[in-house]
Amino acid sequence: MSGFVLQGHELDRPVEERCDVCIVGSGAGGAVLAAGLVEMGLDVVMLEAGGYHTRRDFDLNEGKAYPLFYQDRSARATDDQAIAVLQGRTVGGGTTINWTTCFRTPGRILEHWQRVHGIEGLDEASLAPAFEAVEARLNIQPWPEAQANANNRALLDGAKALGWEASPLRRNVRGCANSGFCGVGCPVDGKQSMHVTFLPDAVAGGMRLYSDVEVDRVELDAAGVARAVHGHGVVRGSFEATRTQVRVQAKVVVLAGGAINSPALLLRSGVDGGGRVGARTFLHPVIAGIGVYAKKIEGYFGAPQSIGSHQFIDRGPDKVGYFLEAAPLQPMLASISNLLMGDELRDFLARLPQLSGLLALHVDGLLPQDEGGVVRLGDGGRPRLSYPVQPWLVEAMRSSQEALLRVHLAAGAEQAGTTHPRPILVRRPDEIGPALAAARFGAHEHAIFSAHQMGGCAMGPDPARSVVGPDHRVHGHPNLFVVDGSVLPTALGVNPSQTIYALAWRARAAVASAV
Amino acid sequence: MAAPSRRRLLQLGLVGGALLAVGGLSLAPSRVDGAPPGLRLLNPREWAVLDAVAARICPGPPSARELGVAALVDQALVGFHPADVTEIKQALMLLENGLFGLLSAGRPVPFTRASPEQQDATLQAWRESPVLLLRSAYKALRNLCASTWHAQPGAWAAVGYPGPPDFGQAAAPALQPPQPPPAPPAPDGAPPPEVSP
Repeated sequence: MSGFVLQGHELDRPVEERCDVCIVGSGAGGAVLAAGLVEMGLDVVMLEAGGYHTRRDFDLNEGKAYPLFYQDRSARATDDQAIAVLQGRTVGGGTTINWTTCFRTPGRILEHWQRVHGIEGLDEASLAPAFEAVEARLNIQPWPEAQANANNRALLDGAKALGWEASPLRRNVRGCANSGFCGVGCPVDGKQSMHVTFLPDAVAGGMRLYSDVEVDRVELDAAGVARAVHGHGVVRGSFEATRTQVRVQAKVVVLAGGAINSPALLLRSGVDGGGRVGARTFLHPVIAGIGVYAKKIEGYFGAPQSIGSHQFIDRGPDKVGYFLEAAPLQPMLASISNLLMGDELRDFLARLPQLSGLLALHVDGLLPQDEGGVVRLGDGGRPRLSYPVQPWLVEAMRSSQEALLRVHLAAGAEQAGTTHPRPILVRRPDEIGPALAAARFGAHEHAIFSAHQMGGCAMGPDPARSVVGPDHRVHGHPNLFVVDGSVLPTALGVNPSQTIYALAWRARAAVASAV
Repeated sequence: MAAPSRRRLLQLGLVGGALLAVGGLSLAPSRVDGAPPGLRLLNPREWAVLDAVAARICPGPPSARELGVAALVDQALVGFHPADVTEIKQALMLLENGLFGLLSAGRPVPFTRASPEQQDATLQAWRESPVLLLRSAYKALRNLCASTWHAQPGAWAAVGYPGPPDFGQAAAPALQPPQPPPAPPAPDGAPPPEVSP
């Protein structure tokens, strides 16, 4: 028996559903879980706040894509605006618009979770079957080095010249056209996003997916048992509510709206976990280094990420590590990568075909004092994220900026620069040290981004220190689960999608057992 | 596309609150030339300030005015959270305020009546201001203008961007044709009827 996908504008009457499991969110966590539950014979209803966008909609127009497929019309940011937060809002969640990079969870992170956060049973061996299963379904394979675009080639060449580690990345693609537009939706269904893999699997097995439905709260009884999920339709691409009211009565409720959104939904439902819900939100804060090359780079074409370097992932016990990857350079995204104006902006981006954009992603949450950011509720229950850029992160950004500039120059860039309002520009390696010594780093000093949102519903065995147990069940709530990136107790040091897929695969048994 | 939030801005402290209050006062009338018909959220005065900002952020060619950047931003704001729209309007009015311009950038006239040099000096002063509220406001207005300008096909030649390849999306079938709505469940709590594809 097949289920269906219903979009908000097709709902002309209140939605009243009953099911075994209601999943809120259709991204990396919700989709993989849903497919597993359906396969086990369970009746699943899924609610997704974003629209149902497919390759027919993916015309690769940035001006249309970013407002429609990203949270807050792509204007999501920390509450002081210092960090721009790129986070998906569409059927398939972040997987529909991510850049396809997949890593298994590093063993050293799993060991950290065991040692510091007391999480037993999550190790490379026990997760291997989950990793293998999603690798098979999503065709996660190394991208051939020979097919790396010139932007990624700059990272490879620069790292090699410096004697640094750099290697090809694994991508979840099948029949990739190598167009370079992963971030605005794959036009050929080459990217194995949730909306072309696990979600159709789940729908074929009977799942009913409602898009354009924003969930207001989970109804809990006095004993903390989840009884129903309440939501409303939204006009696509806006915050405007439609008249459609949605109520799903379920035996089990699973939150899978991702970091920031899932903790906010818990808070709106009256669950604050003694202040731990929303705490320890991590962002892999990103800074960029731009290289200007004599040759054409054309960073807007070709797989956006195919080379990565973990040379600086471990900088010792008292420092924040970072890893290096590339960014696609379509003009709109490139234009918000800096703070320039007027002639400076024009002259800078007039050389767009010759620019290479490399990123440093900082691994937050591993230092004992690093609590990351906090999600709280703002007006109308809207999530608000505060994230202080702490001194240890500032130190790491100064170091990673130097690494980014060095890579570009080693790869043959004529010039390499930062994203400060008055960019620091260098042409020779010996200029880097003195130039950066005079520069300021941190919030509001240069562009900072986040493409990876993690934490806020931290996993752990101790209710006094975590929000969900190792089985993803919210402490004190027997039939309420969180299965998405918000359960991660720290950042990962790698792109998070495959970790979330694998955790969701593993969570099937616990969720099913609660029905 | 970053947008500041009024409450968030106010949380930056009393300075922010005082600044936004000043933004509502006006010493001299704005210059409002050529506001297009059909503005959705901005009033003609707010459009004029944004139009002046866009002209300084993206001088072109093609000019921001030529591409209609301020009107396009007005359209784009329709989907924004109302609180974010309010704050963008407040940032525009604060920028326009002549008294505040005098204090923050030595410019005693409304932004729309200032010379291009004075306008640049004001935006640069905000960009690197010790008052974080002003840096946030600069970033928000700047990103709205810059992202909108660069998203226009008419601007792509100026940055050497050939445009995206055409995969013929318009002709591609939807992955999963939507199904008709199910009937509401029976009042006795029976499960909803099965829906076949």
